[in-house]
Amino acid sequence: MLFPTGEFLFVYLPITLGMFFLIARLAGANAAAGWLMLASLFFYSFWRPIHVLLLVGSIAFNYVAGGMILRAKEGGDPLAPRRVLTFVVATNLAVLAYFKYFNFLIATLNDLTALDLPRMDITLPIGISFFTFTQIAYLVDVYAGKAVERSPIRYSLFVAYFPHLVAGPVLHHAQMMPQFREQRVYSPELRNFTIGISFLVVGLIKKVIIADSFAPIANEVFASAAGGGLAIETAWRGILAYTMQIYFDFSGYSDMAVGLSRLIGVQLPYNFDSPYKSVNIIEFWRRWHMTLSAFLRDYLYIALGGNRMGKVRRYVNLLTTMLLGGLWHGASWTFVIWGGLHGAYLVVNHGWRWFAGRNRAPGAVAGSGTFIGRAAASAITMLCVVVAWVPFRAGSVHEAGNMISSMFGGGGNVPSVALEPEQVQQWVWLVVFLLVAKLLPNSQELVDGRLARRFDGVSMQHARRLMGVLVGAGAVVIVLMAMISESRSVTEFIYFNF
Amino acid sequence: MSKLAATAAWILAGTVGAVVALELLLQVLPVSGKGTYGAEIDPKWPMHHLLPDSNFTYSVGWNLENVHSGRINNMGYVAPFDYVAGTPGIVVLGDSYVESLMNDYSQTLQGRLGGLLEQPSAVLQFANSGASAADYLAVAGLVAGRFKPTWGIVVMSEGDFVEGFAADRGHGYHNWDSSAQPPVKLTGFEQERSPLVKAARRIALIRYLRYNLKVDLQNLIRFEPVSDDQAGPMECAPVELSASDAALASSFAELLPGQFGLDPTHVILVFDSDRKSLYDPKRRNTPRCATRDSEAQKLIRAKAIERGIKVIEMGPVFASYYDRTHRRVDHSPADWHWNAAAHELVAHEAAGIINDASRPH
Repeated sequence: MLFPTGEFLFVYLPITLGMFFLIARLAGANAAAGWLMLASLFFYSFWRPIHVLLLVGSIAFNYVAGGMILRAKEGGDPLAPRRVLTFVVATNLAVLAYFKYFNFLIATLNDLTALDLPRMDITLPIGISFFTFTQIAYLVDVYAGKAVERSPIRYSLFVAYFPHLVAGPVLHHAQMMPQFREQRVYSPELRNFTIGISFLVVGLIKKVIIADSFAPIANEVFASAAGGGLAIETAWRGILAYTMQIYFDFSGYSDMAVGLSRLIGVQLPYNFDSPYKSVNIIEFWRRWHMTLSAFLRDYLYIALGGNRMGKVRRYVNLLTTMLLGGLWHGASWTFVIWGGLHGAYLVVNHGWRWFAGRNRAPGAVAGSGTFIGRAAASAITMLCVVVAWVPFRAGSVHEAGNMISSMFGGGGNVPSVALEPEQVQQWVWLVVFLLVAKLLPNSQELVDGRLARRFDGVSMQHARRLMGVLVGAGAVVIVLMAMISESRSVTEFIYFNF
Repeated sequence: MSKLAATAAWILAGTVGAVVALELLLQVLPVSGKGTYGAEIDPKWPMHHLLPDSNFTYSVGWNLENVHSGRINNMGYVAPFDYVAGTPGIVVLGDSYVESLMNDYSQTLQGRLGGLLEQPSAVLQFANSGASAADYLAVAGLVAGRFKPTWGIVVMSEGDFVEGFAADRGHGYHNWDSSAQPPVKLTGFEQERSPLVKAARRIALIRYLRYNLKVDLQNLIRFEPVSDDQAGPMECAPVELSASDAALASSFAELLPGQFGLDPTHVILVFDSDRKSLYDPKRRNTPRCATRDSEAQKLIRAKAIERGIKVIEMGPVFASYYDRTHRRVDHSPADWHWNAAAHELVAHEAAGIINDASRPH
């Protein structure tokens, strides 16, 4: 059940929300939270009902594990909490490894040795990377004394909460669950509805109108790259189409998740902050998939020692973090290459900062120089990001190699032909949406910033009128987007695969 | 008014305002379906046709791609000229492939054919969307009664046999009926449209949802969890035509020339091909599973050849063109109807047969 579908928007969502508020009114907050948890499990069951057992098992295991860590902390052995934490994190990673990486390991072993080990018929449970990481973060937070959840229902809701369950954002317990203790969450508020519907509208437009329009271009070009070299124009058109697709797809999904949660009054963290506006790779990673970046920073990079053990070790830690971050996205060498590229970019970027700082050339640090310097830094950053998207999208290392070499004129004897009108049109749209991504305000600036400020700047009565009109108009756009999505044969969100 | 009622009223105002704004926007955009309205009752031409002497607009998809507009003539068929009773000429029958709202008239089979003939001839098309082989049989008779066909060309596309059993095509279509001669019966006369329906035709938003988005409530809300069963390689179930289907298919080939009032050698059957496989190298050499329709069309093909009817197979022609140019012969993936290139290829094939026949041997 995807967010832009009729069954979600017209049946699941109204029933879930309506019952949530009704149960909260009639039976109290705990019952409403329980309902929301059950509705979220039902939502998850739509992909493969059998995988609900895995999700429930994972929740139960980690809930108990959280309790064990707490009890170990209360006990006398100072090493016991760490031992428990190590065991439960390793167990989580082992489950993830089985479902996600087992066949990858087998294939790699077979390639490296003369073995012919059989692959297993394993179906990847949707969202397993997200709910595993969310729970690992919780367990580490429990160990660090930053989180504790004694209610099994609320813990289950924290993990299974449908807006973030299958593709994030990756949440900290402290970011979400305290909100469920506030009474305001359990009664509908027009302001929340208006903000929520506005996010939903922006997200649906990003996904249904923009991302799904670029997807066929990228698909066709990458399919051709699997067979051999391409003309330079074709290769760039394909990778730029994917650059637009992945941004509008994933940020659109994240906007929808934020909007859906806001309908209930729960604010999820933002996942994107106009990443293509970045003038260096460090900034890019502060703006792209922000909750995963924060997770990798807090629970992996810092755990490896961060920047506390000298420059060389810092760069090794950066590379290791990004390689594992790449592998998190999928069991394939293409993701490892993507992570490795970004790790290398980050090392170069940090090295450059160190070099510029040492030589007292603050202008050389991107972001603080002239307009031309910033423009050049922005272009170089964009080029690096675009090149790295090639292995991320490619189905194989061979395909990625064909694409990269084609982009830089190594596509072989491919005759260059005059552009067809359709291709010219594709370039126009690519440039338009590249400018949109680079220059215009993002969803949260528009909705939570400008729109929300408009409500604050007028009388209560006027604000209610405005919000009422926006909810009504937004509902029409949502219905239209669902119908357009259906007419286009809905494509799954890219990050559902991870 | 309570706060809740006031809020509800403003929500309603927002909804109505957005719908009105959408309608105003769509009114100035080339939304599909404009002008392609079914004509009123006409006992003298009891076959579905469009509102005569009007103009139409066609586009496809949510973003109104492939915009075309054109004229519907005095008899309710897409053509830039009127049909005059008694005109001798080549008659082209088919469904939406021949009606061809998605191509300029000049780029269609009927629009090109005249220019490819060594001996000039009028070309008249009597095709409409949703028509089936049962309709072709009936329309051939109607045409022969009012015009003077010199050649009859019938384009057979996928589903044309089984659609002759469909009960939901509305009035003015023909279904198979073994007890009739020819074995078809009219599903009903065109009915007078209610004022509500006529008003709805003017609403661009309704046309957009119906023709551009093809909204179907059953598809819009689908509660179908993914099955745990891993789909293995598809195996084709054997298909055998029933005796009545075989009789109908045979009758079609047997009776079609007579319906046109033509010798079988002056009738051409054009068979479309599996174009999805054409574009997919993995499926190229994998034969499609047989269906009731494909088996019936196979029988029609065989019987037609036996009868002396000319048969054009577009499969090899399209494949050769695609291999040579890497250009598709349809508007896929948005629309699988033939594009101008396909129409040109069909026109060349048909003209070749007609020109051959007109040369002294």
